[in-house]
Amino acid sequence: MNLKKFTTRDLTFIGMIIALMFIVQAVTILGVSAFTPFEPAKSVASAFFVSIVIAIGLAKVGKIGTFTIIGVVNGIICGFIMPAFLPLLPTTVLGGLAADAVIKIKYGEYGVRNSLITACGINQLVETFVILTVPFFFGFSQTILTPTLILVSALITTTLGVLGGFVGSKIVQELKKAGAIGE
Amino acid sequence: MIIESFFSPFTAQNPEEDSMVHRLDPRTKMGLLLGVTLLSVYLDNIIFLLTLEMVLIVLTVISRTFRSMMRFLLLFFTFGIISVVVLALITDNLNYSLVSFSPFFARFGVMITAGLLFAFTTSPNNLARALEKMRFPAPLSFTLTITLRYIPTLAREAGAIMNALKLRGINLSLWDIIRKPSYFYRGMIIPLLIRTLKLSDEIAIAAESRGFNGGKGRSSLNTLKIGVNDLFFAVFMVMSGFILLFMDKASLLKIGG
Repeated sequence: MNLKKFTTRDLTFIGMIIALMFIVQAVTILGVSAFTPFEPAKSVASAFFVSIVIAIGLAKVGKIGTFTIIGVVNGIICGFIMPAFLPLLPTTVLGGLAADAVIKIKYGEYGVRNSLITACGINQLVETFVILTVPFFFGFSQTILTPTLILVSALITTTLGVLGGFVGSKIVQELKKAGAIGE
Repeated sequence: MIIESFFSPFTAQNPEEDSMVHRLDPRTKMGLLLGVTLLSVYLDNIIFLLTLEMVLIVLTVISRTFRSMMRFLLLFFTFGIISVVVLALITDNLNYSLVSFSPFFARFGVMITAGLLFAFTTSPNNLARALEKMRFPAPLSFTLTITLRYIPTLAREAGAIMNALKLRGINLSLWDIIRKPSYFYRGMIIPLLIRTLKLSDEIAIAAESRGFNGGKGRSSLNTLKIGVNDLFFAVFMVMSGFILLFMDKASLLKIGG
């Protein structure tokens, strides 16, 4: 990944978007934890809202590698600072890398609405698969988290990610009209 | 502000907090976190997992962060107890539920305690500096610094926008957001995004006007250095880890034989 193409303006905006994403993520996950201890419900709940914020960040910066930067920085924060759970680091990095790779092959860069929607969907799919298979390495009961449940959760989060990407792209259009984001 | 106070223990370090663990190099503590995570995967006997948890709790007591960590650990243990009860109700077998979940929660408990120990004894600035020392790309550590600095600020901005909505007679409950999402969208999301865009532009202009070039060759007043304490601590932890692993495998062989 060529980091030289990212300007200071891009990096500060990505940093702010991750901060916003982190707040949204923490609030939704904590909100869901208050109602249910069911692990996949947390991934599902945050998928939609987080994807909205990510789509806005991708549309503004528009360069391949943006999602990987988001994944690495968010992974470091989730892995070392809050909730300080190390397996989240590879999860978010892999999600970002996968999304960037697919967009690079299919669209070349982030710009059109479909590229934002696809990136958000791919990211959620990979992240959910990785984060829900990690507990098995730590001896989690397979009777609770079955492969079917993982597949269903991944499909739901992907759909919500796609929807979030769609809503995010609509917000981007509105921000462009308002002059907050350049055409 | 509730949101801000929730994030502040992680994003801002109390300067009055100082202990042997606080003074360790963040790279040593990162090694501890990684080592403990790997060790928790390899340990099979729950007694040794609990011993490892006790070692970490002793470290949190030494670092005087145990009290602030308690609410997060309690949240985790409550979640554990609820899960055991739910599985016991589903299977109608408490013993099976305990056997299924105990090793998992012991491992997760160890990982979460190690993670919180790192988070509560390392300032975000030191973490970014340690990453730079580990040849982490400068633009990424700059982005990380921006994120950590602006999490509380954005939480405060969100709170201010929420208060402004309340002043105008719009008190958004969860039900209101579901019933009329446009209120939330127009009243909360759009203003917060525009504020984020403005703030990021201001930071970029300020950084560029000071000759910022992506963070390369940035100097710091306080430099990180691995000292004798770090070495002693690392040797102690590695030895403890090996002893636990050896005892775990030896006891497994005994059971197997």
